Amino acid sequence: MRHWKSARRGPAEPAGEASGARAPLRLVHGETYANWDAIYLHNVDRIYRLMFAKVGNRPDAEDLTAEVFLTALRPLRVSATVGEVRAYLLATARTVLAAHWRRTFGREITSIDLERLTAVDEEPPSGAGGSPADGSPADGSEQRAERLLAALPDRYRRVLELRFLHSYTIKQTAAELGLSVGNVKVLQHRALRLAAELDRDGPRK
Amino acid sequence: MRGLPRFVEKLLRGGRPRPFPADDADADALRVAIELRAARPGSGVPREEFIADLHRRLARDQADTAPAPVRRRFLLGGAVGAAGAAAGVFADRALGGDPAAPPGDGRLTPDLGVWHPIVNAADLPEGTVHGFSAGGVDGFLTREGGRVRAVSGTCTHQGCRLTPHERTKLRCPCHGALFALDGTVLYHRLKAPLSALPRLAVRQANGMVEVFVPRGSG
Repeated sequence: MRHWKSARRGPAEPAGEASGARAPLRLVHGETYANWDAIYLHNVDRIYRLMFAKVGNRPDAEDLTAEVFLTALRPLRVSATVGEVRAYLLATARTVLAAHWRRTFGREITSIDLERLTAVDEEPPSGAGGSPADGSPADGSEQRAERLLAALPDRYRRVLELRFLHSYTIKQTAAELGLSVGNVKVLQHRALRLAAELDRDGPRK
Repeated sequence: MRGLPRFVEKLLRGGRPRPFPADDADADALRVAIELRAARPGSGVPREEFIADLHRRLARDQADTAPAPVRRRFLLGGAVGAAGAAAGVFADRALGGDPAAPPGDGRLTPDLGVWHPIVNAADLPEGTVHGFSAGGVDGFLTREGGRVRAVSGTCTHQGCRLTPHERTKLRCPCHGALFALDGTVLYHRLKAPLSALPRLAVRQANGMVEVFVPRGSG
């Protein structure tokens, strides 16, 4: 019998643990899940975070996360190992995200890099930047945002920080920076354009 | 407001942004905006409500459509798998003894399985592909050239559920294998040969198309 990928089957008992808590990654790659509930509860958080990192808003992230599980869970064999399930969910997520961008923009805006995620997955504790222990794939985003911002002139960086990271409204930002609302809008727009330009020309990732 | 700024404002307010015709520069700016927005502390955490909601949806989905082999796979932790699929069909309640076929009605009644009525014969016109799930077996009823056929709807590779494809084929979502409606293999990319889908006996009784589902291997 061939499962998708190899059929490393772990001991049966550890799988039960995951059903209650969706918390930390206690399961190891070679083990299996007890049932689809366990698969869902164990992975929903990471898939959602991944999607949020790729679309930046809750409604889309929720829809896409739901789509991943609705698509993936049915053909998924519960006998698959934790690592296999994760790889399969990620592959599904990548397809779902690509379809989302094709549907909305007709072009790919962000994408899921499976190789990079799997690499991060394989060596969780030593990961770059000392990210928190939850091991979510979106962890790199803060460092990446920092890098994007660090490349900008002061005023540009400031306006993006306030609006994107600190949830300031345009008015609050204007007050904080002593500018008019119109100025903030222009500044923010230019800052975004410049950050994109620098990112494109500079080293990616 | 033009497309990009409006998209960004929506993103910042947490709503669902609307797409707009984006050129390369727009796409780059969008990517940066999304990345920055996603880096807002605490924003990547899913709502408990959403998690519970989706959980319920999935439970319903699994209960509605999951064929019994899947249920069985869950129960047995995957031990059934391809062996069962290769053997053809398996029944859900091996010991259930569902007396669907009443004794003594003047028919020969096979005692190792059960005839399950599936659909009105009139509702199965030429060319239809009718999915069904009965007695733990997932399958498809088809009528081609007037002849009604039933094949297993479970891929002989790993037991994934097949879906109708272009009304003339059955496709496996797992590895893309294609089967004809009579169960023969049309295409696959697997290293090992793939066996044809097992066929199920069909009959017509009281205007209903019935499928014979043998009882489990035991």
